[in-house]
Formats: sequence, structure tokens, C-alpha cells
Amino acid sequence: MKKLICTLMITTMLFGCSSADTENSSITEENKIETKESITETKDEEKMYVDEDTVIIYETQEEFRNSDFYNKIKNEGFTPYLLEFDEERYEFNNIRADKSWYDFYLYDIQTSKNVCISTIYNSGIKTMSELQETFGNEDDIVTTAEINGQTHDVLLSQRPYVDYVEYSLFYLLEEEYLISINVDNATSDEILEYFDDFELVADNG
Amino acid sequence: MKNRVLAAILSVCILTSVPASRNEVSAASKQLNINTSFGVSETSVYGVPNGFTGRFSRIKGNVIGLYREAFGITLNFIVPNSGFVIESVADMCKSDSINGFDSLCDHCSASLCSNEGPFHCTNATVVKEDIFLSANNVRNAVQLHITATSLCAENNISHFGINGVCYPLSTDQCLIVRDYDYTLVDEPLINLTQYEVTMAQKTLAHEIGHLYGVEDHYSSIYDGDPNCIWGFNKDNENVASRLMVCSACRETINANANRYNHYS
Repeated sequence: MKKLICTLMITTMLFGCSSADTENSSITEENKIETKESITETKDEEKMYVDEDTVIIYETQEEFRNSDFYNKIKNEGFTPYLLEFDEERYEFNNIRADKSWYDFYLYDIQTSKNVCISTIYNSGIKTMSELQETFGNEDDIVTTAEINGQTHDVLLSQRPYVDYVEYSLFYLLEEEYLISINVDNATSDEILEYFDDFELVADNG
Repeated sequence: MKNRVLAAILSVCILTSVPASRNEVSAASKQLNINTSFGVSETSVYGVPNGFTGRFSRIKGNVIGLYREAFGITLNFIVPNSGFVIESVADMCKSDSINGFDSLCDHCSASLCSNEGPFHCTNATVVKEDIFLSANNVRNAVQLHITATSLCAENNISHFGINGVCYPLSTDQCLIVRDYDYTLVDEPLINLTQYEVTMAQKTLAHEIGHLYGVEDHYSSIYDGDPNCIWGFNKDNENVASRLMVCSACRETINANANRYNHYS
């Protein structure tokens, strides 16, 4: 009988603990957070991280060509490129440049789509496999495409987190000079067609 | 026999109570509640509230996707009905203790801004104060503020424009994200979609990462992997729109993924 009473007491205690855990679980979680946060507060109250904005906007290609940024590209041993396109079809928006990249933004008057030709001239990427590893996804397609009369290996890459661009097309213009084209909601076929509308012209002067 | 029956009941009690509590912790973990407020400057451009809140869905959608798919973290954005905050704008830069602060501000040049109106740059510290004065703060959440004003910050030696800021360790833990570039105000909205969404989502993802311990590495091309939203090429279209995260930053977030277990 004594054994039975003991066992019942243990059982009651266990049930009690269990139900208390359930009832107060949210409070316990909250306390955990507060404790964690109060510990970190004492370490560094004022710490702040800033996402610095150093992007420069050039309204015209001429402005870009006369800029310090353009000279910086040359001084770093790379070739600056300008963009040739059909001005009746595409409206030039601007060039945004920073660090080791510059992007051309245009607007397709015919289809009302935004177009971005992006360049990273010191990308650290030398081969197509490195390109695929860095920017690609599992189901991406590596193929060849004729761009301005030259055959290039290209990566047609899907964009996992972007709801307005389905595919990007990448290729290496020179070693480490990474070019890509992004067009609002363009399919893989459309993007290949788009690419032929633009020519990057080297300034070797 | 009685003992056996009681022992069996006891075992069932133990077996059912332990996993239940484990599951509770697991379900509640990896959730970050983000109480979201908007600057009234947003309403000047997009109207109240549909223009902006519809647009914010696109921005946050991609960031939610990244954190859920890459890290298993649920981002729970809480948008109160009265979520608009009046920010101190105009000449707030001058209030900083650094002498001549406003003259250093790029956004203060006469051609860009007449030192008044909603699109003047505002010091991030000032915005932070405004948020906690005006916003309906929610317990058990970090505070996010989206603003259409251009933002600036300062350290002991300089003053500079910023896309966003994160105060991860402060009592008033918060993020501030710049949404709109006032230099583009005159352009038709249709032209803004790609670039503006790209930059806003990148900044949002970037600042949230600091809450999980990620350190910036954008000081030079040799500072870690440049093709990362905390790296040298963070604002490049490809890096920003794909929300690229390098392996080192991925590791940091995964290591700290349980840091917040805000329940719904």
C-alpha cells in the first residue's frame, strides 16, 4: 500500500510538472529571449551596422566616360565598355557604378520592360564552372550563344528569390569581366534575343 | 501486478510529456517577429496605405523566401494599422555634435535638395528616436522602419549616405531601411520597379542578417567573398537581386539561427 501511495505521488508530481510546463511554455520562451537580450545589451549598447551607400549615378554615357570612375577602371588594368543599342526602341535610363562594377539601366519602349546590363570587371571569376558555382542554381543551363558576331559560353540562370526576373544570362567578356543581362519577366528564349540587341564597345584608348 | 500497471502508466506519462515540450521549443524557435512601421514620407509618393503596403509585399516576399529556404528562419512581419511614423526631417543633420555636419552631407547640395521637405536626408539616429516615440511597439519583436527619406550616418571622422542601419544590441533593437531614392521622384513609377525593389530587398535582407551576427565585409574586394549582400559587390544588380550570401555569412546565420524564438 505504501508503495502504491509513493507511486501515486510521483505520478501526480510528474503530471503536475508536465502541465505546468505546457501552461507556462510561452512565458518560459519569453523569459529566455529577455535573458539573452539583456546579456548582449551589456556587451555593447551602441553598436550599429550601416549599409553604406556609395553608388554613383551617371545620367548619360558621356558623363560616365568623363568620370573619375571610368579612369579608375583603366588604372586598375581593365577595359571600360560603353553600350550601343537601338535608341528608337530603348530609352537610356542611367548607369549606376560602385566599387568594381557598373550597370546600364534601360527601358524597352516596345514591351515596357526594364533592362539591366550589369558588369563586374574584377569579379574574381575566371571560368564558366566558377561562374556557375557562384551565380548559378541546380537546374541552370550552360549553353553557347552568338553575341555580336562572337560565340560565347553562356549561363542561363534562374533567379530563386526574385519575382520580377525569371532568367539572367551571364558570360565572361574577358577573364574576370562578368557580364549579365536581366529583363523584367523575360523567358530564357526572350533573354537570348534581347542580348543580341546590345553591344558592349571597348574603349582601348 | 498493481506495481506493473502503475509503472506502465508512469512510463506513458514520461514518454508523452518529454517529446511534447521538445516539439514546443522547436516549433517556436527560428522565428523573428518584425514590427513594421513606415515613414510618412512613403505616403507622399505612394499614397496611404495601399500604394505602399502593396509594394512592401514584393520587397518582403523575396526576403522571407531567402531566410526560410536558406536558413529555416520564419520572418513574421507585423504591420499595425496605424503604422505610419512622422519622421524628423529637413535640417536634422545640423543637430549632430560634429561641427559643420550639414556641409559634409552629399544630400544637402543645393542642386539636390533645398534642405526641406520629405526627401531630405535624415540622420539614422534621429529616425531611430522618432520610431520609438511614435510607433506602436510590439513586445517580443524587433522594430523595422521603412523610410522614403534618404538616410545618413556619421562616425567620429565622417558623414555618409546609407541604405540602411541595424542596431542589433541596443535596448531598442531596430532596423531602418531606405526605400526610395528621392533623386528618382520625377521619373515615372513604371521605371522604378526593378532597381528600387532590388535595393530595398537587399537592404532589408542585409540588416536582418546583422541580427544574426553577420559582420560586413565590403571594405575591399579582398575582404571575404565580394559577391555577397554583405560583401564588396553588395549593391551590384546581380548580387542584390539574387540576395547572394557567401559561405562564411551563411555559416554565421546558421550558427545563430536559433537566436530568436519569438512566438506568434
